[in-house]
Amino acid sequence: MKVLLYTNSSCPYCKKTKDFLKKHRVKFKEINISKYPSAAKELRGKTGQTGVPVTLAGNHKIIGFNEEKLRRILKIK
Amino acid sequence: MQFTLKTKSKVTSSHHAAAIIGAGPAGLTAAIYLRRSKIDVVVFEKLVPGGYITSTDFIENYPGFPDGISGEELGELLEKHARGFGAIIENNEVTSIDLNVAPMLIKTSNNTFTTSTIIIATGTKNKKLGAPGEEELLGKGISLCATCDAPFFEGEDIVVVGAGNSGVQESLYLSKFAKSIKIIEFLDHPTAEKILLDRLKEKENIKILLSHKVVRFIGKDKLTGVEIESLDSNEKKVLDVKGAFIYTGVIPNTDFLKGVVDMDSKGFIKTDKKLKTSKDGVFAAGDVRTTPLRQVATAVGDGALAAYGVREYLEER
Repeated sequence: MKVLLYTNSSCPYCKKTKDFLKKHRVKFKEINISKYPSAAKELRGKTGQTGVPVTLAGNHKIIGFNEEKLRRILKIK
Repeated sequence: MQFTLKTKSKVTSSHHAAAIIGAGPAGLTAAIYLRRSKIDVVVFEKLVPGGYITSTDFIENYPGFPDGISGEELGELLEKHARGFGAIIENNEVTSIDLNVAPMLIKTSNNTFTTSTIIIATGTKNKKLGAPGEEELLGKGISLCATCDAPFFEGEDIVVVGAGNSGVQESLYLSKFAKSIKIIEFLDHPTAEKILLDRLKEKENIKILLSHKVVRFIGKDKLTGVEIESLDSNEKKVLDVKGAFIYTGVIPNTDFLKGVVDMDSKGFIKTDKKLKTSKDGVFAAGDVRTTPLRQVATAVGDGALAAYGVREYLEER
């Protein structure tokens, strides 16, 4: 499953999500909106969200750091 | 954006002479001082070490950094400093504590720890306004964290609610992104530091509306406007904006401590001069306690003082 993680450098919940994915060896592509401002517009257009982190996994959208949902969708035990 | 954490942890239960709840400037300073006294200490942090400051754009009133420092960087330095002296930092949320047993009990998401002393340094979080539409539009135009969400508002008209230090500081940061910013302030004067207000005057795209309150946030799936009311004339008007950042004060992270230690009417923990709480062996430090000023500098001082109190308490026993 393709996993995209939208983050920002100074966002503590983004770091928490990133650490969680790394810890569980989930392959993901990180898109930092402070480095790529156009990605913020793209994410807003796709999801309506104006905040990070947002994890897009397949057809699923995970808003914020939600360990329960991340585990369920990414099948992490 | 702020979220409720739902965590699972694999920390093994154990006993520690001191436990610190919260790894912000107060908690990490206390850890440094305790470790230098060779006191066994564990620090619990539900999010990331550094605490609230990690989402602060820039800190320029903390001595020793004449050119200022980002909150994120200062948080990392504090963590490194504490770990350097051997502090154990557990990424684990404390859900409850039991102070009526000896040793005291700390419960996390899925473990129980025992400890002889506790320093509560859980800090604060941004207060929501409680205005209609706020909950529904949070993350859909409304934000509590400028440094996290600013890029979403590139070229947009936005409002910032609150003209205190946080509201003005973050408005200055947001002005790099937004087309225009209106700061809505309930009082008839801004309460931010003079130096910040001077910088505000230099920004052509920021205006302050004093003596105004937010009536409601407008929008279905996304924020499209904010209705405000003048407290002088009672005149209401709608500002067409795509974003709103709320900085109207803070509330303490003390939900899990209700009925455990004495608190003031707003939920901040009451302490004496040595930062002892109403319970023996339990101290509070930093923004979470009743104090007239909440800054990194005061939190650091509190951390050192609380650690001294813990040391004294352990030596007396």
